[in-house]
Amino acid sequence: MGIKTKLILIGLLPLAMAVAFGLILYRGQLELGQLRDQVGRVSEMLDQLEQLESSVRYFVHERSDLERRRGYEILDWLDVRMLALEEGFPEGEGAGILAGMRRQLVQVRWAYMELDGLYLPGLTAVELTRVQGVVARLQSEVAVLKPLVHGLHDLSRRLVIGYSDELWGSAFSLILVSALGVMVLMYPLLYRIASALQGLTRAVRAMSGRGGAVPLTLGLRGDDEFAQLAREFSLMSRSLASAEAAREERARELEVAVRDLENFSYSVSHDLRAPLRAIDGFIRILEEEYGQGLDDEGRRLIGVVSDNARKMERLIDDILALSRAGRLEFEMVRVDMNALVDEVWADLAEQRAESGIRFERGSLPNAVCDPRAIRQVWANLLGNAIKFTSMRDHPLIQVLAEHRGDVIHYLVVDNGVGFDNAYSSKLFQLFQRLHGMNEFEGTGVGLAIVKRFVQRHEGQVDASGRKDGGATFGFTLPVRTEPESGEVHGHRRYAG
Amino acid sequence: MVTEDTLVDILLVEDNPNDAELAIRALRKHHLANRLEWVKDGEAALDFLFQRGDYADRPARLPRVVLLDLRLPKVDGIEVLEQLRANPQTHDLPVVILTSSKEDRDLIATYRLGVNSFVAKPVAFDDFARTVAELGMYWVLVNRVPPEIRSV
Repeated sequence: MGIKTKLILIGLLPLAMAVAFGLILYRGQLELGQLRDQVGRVSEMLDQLEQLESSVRYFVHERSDLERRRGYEILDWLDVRMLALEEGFPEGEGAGILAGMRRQLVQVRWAYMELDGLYLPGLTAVELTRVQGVVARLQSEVAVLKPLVHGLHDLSRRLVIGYSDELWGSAFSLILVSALGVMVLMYPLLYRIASALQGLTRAVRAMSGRGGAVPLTLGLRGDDEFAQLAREFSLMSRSLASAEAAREERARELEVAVRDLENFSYSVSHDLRAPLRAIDGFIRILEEEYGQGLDDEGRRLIGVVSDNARKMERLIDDILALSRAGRLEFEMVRVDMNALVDEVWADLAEQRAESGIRFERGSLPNAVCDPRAIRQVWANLLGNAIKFTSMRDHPLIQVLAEHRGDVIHYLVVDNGVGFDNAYSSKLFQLFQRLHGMNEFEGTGVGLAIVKRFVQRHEGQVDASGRKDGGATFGFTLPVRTEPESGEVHGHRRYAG
Repeated sequence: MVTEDTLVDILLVEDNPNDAELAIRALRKHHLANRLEWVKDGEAALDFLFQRGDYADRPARLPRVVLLDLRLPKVDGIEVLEQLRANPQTHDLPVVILTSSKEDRDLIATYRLGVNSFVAKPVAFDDFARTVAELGMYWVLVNRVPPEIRSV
């Protein structure tokens, strides 16, 4: 049986008890009313007996026919009432008293009828004596009847009190029984709920502690809601464990793939360089030892071969740098961006030699990031800006930053050759270049490295520009709380 | 018979014949290639230095410097360096890594094993020739080694 059903049943129990209680009380009150009526009737009988006595006195004294008939009326009334009383009392209660009363009532009637027989308008002395004798007998019979009626009165009152006590007693025991019943029925239920909740809490805690790697089974038997929950929990725990296992498997595969890629890039770095060196080396030797026999065109062709070998070397270096950007293990510290940008700008002095670029740096907020990675980001963005502005009039490069929600947006703005905004989405893709090889040098890897580093900081890159109208490159870094040390690191530590 | 002519100043361990030729040419320009031995793999390098196999009859005198590539057939450069440093005879022998690798892990691994110098081969021939020539001049002509390394 489910816990819900049990709870409903237990809730119904007091309801049923209340109904029973009401019924008992209603019936008891009816009964009690009847008993009280009996008490009233008996009291009335006593009054009537008094009346009878006074009627007799009046009758004897005044010889009034009215009083005589009144006496009979009272006697009739008493008979009727007697019948009613005999019916009204419960079996066996006061039977003796009732029988005595009936007998005595008959005696009283006879005495009254005898008195009535002696009814004469004028009485002789003898007759008077007889009348007085009869009256005395009548009075003594009434005197016998009265204690009986009193006794009956007491009895009926006792019955009322007794019944009332009984009624309250049964009502009380009914309440007690129903309270006990609810308690007895609730106890196992409450115990079940408490122990099931405890078990569940323990299991959930254990699961969160182990990261769901180990399937857990809750030892809750039965077929109620908790057992059902326990089964669902076990199922969930198993599926979590298998998902976790699958995730670990994928992570292992990924690790293997990354290692393969590392080995591949290592091979590339070694194996592709050697033939390049041979090409460049032997073409130089050719030039040195057989250069005299070549004309200008021949020497130019040798230069083309040599230039391309160098370009390819740069390409290989950039690919390896990109692969390292993905592998670099980050060490997150709070970095003074102003100092970092100033230093990167100073390092680029050779590149911007005599271009007369004006450099404006706004106040940049600190950020929690890997200084080597973000240093590279700045170097690539500023390097690009220099490359594309140095041939312009009044070249200007600005570095700005603004808080935007929970990220900091850093910007490099230049007034260089710019680019067509339609191609801005291609800018950060590997090997994508928007300018011809002979216009500007480059391999199309620098911005891809910027994107890789920024993405690994959970930030985003953006770019906008206009052809011949300058370009703006930006990246965001999330506002993070202090790393463990909380120390503001200078950029010098990471220089080189 | 040990003569000055059979002695070796530079042991070049290089599996790529083109690189080896370029290096030897660069050294020859500065007259440093006369007493040079070129071996093509790590095993040959160890045989040479420990006078084993083909080099059993070699004079006991060690070269002034070993120019060691890292990626070599049979026994790679790091293992060669490890064995040289493990042996008391060759423990102090100057070893210079001359490699195409620019990987930090190679740099760290070889320095940890006590390499004397680590040089990445430039691709451009001018740079390469200059680098190799400077290396040869420095280690053969300028640098001094403890006498027991060169003792017969």
